[in-house]
Amino acid sequence: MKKALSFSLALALLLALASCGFFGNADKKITVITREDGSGTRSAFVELFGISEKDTDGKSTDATIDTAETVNNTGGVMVSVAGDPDSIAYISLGSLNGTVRALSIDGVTPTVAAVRDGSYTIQRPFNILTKGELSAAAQDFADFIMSREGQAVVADNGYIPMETTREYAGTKSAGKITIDGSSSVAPLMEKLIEAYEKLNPGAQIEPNTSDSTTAVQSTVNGTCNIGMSSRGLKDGELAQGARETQIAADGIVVIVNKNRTLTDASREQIKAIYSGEITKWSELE
Amino acid sequence: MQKLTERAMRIIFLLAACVSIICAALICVFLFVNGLPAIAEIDPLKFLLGTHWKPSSEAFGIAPMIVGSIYVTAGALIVGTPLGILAAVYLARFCPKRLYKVLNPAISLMAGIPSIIYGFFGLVVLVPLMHRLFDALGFSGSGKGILTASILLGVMILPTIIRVSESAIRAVPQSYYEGALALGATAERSVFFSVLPAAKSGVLAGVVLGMGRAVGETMAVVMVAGNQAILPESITSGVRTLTANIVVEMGYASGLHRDALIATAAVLFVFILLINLLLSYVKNRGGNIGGKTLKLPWKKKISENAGKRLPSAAKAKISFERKRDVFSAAARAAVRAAIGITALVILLMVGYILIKGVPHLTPSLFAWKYNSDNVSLMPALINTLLMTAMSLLIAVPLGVFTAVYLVEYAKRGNKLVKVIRMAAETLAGIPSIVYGIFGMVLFVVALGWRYSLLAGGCTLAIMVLPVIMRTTEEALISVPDSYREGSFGLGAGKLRTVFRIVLPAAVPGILSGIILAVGRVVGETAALIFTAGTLAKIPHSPMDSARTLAVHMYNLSGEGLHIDQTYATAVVLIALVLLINALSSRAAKKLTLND
Repeated sequence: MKKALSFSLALALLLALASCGFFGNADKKITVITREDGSGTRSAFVELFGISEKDTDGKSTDATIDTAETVNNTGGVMVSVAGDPDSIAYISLGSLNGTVRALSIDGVTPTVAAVRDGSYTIQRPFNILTKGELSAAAQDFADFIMSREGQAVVADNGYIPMETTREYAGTKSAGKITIDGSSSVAPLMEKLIEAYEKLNPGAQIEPNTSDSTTAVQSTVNGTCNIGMSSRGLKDGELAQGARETQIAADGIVVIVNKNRTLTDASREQIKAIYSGEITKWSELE
Repeated sequence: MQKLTERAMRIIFLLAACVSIICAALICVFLFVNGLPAIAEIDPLKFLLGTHWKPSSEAFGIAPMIVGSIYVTAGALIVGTPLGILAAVYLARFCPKRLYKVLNPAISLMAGIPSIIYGFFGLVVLVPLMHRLFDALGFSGSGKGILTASILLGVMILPTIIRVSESAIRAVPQSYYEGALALGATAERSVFFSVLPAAKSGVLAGVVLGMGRAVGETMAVVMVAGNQAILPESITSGVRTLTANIVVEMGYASGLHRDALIATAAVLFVFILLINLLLSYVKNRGGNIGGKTLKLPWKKKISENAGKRLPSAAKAKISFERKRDVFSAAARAAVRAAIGITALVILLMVGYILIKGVPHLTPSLFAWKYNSDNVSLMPALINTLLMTAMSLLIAVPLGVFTAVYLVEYAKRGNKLVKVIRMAAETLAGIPSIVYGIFGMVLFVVALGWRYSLLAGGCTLAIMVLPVIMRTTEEALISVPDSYREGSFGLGAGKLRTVFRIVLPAAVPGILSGIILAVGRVVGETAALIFTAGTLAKIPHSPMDSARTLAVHMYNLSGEGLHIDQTYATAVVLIALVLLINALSSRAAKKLTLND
């Protein structure tokens, strides 16, 4: 009996100590959700909205607030936003579905058409990464992606194709191709692989999903033949021998929970949210 | 001739036994050779005590992650231990036989459900629930954080604590219980003051095992803890654990960043070693029930109580009705509440997944070829079988031969035996994420195998080796010596005895170990995403990448394009776990029949 009493007393004390941080405000705090450091979507987002600061060496670094939740894939981001009415996040336009609401930025609604004609400026390239000479099989696949047939697949899936008139000649080389990289590009790459396999049934392509920076690593150290990234290469990466070819363009949308009344935000507001200057929903709605 | 084969086989068994030492040593070497120079370069104090983790600015302080792991583990223990021990008491001493037939498979199911399913359930159900709770109570917090992670982890370690505590309580001789009853205590008092203290070391061992599991958990925690690399402010703040830090950043880290992550894994490894030391200390202190040293701390209490009761019983009516008192009533309610909560949790989780998943179990989900429209799980299912087969192909011969060496050939108290046991315990405690990065750096990159079935199989083989070793050893020990002596008496040599008499007799036990290993392989995610990759096709050769069912589910939930199919895949995974458990209980029944 004594033990139970002392145990429950200890527990109560612990809870009391822990609760020191609790008693909050009536206004809802914005739950800021971001992707992991190596995500191409995050790099592109940070660059496009100017969420950066200079660190002690004068290098500009990601200034996303420390208290932002980190989710390491697109699906997790969407599920988190769908489940939390006070959250805000960003994802690839091609992954957007009906479970969350996309905000228009400075009055421009994010659609494929808006990205194509340039009115929606929050967009970034989808690139394939290579290093040195490609194997015949990999080169053939790369040619397919940049051909009219390949770009038709891009357009069909809600991404913005590149201008090209080249037809796919098709050497139909055999050989294994390993592809690794961005979880934003992966769904598109899957469709491209399927279309390619229809034309070249002997193709052996192994896609692997991780993120853009992993793609650069893998391409540079030879773990994969082709990398896929959703951001541009940095100088250090170019110096290591990586080369990029843009295969499509994609918009980044800022998403909120469907229960929110907010439908539009300005660039400055998004920047302020992610750098910690705006912390409550009452400042926006 | 016979002598030559005997000698040769003895050496082969010895070599097999040394493999586990080699593996444990390799992992240690990998962790410390890569990690220590990184710690030195970052400066040990800045690394361990620094509160700023920002790799892009060369800041590598892991103090927030250490604190995160500690808080989350402590929280899990606070949630899981009372619940687990009370539920174990109920199952061992108060549960009617028919109810036990239902509850036992339920606990097994809970133990076998992969962590990716717990994590997914936590993300879609628990996190929004906690958010609403926080709002209602006026706390700030998005729902992801220490409290949520603690609750989820507490539920995850419940089966471990319940299992081990239950067997410890069952191992206490009935005489302890009857003795207390005879002295006038109620059933509940007898259990709590006589039986449970006697099972103390076993129960504590279960709690420590649960602690080890909580510290090493990756997939579930990364989905519900928030992953902010800062020191948490309150119990509702988000936090990042050491394991989450590794899994989120390992894929793209390079240079000092990657070495810093390996150093993080080394810190985690040291934590696990400390927990293992604690476990062996606890085991040694308790002494054996029904064996040599018996500690009887309750003796005093019972005799005190007996003294107190006797006058009143003798004075007034000598009633043989067991006294109903507050403690007994409360204890009775508590154990029933504990098992009720446990059962409710299992029911809720499995029920929710079934309701959301079964409607989407379409035939296209089982198509032979995977494409991005049908997201068929068939290739992943087959890959799971292939991966299991490959890991077992490597682990079973190695594990069985090691156990044969330990039981049949090694002399008692041999130093090598102690080293092998230590190596096995170390391997058993290492978190799966550490296996994942080890496998990635060794098999995928250094040996150049790339993401492949082979890399995944080898990594998982090392992971399940301790399980096979332990269960085979126990199975071999339980074979009566008379079998061996009878065989020798008929003129058979040692080798023939082992292979013809002892091993066949131990097969049911070995089988149960294999099934445990299969359960581990089926549920594994963290180790496989870094070694076998995520290709959704049936591999042409072991050098091809292959995703298993658990990895498939991780991928689906990560892409976010096919939520319905994610639930359906979860249903199939749970069905697979149920199947494995059913097989395991049949094998166990065969074992007891053979006795």
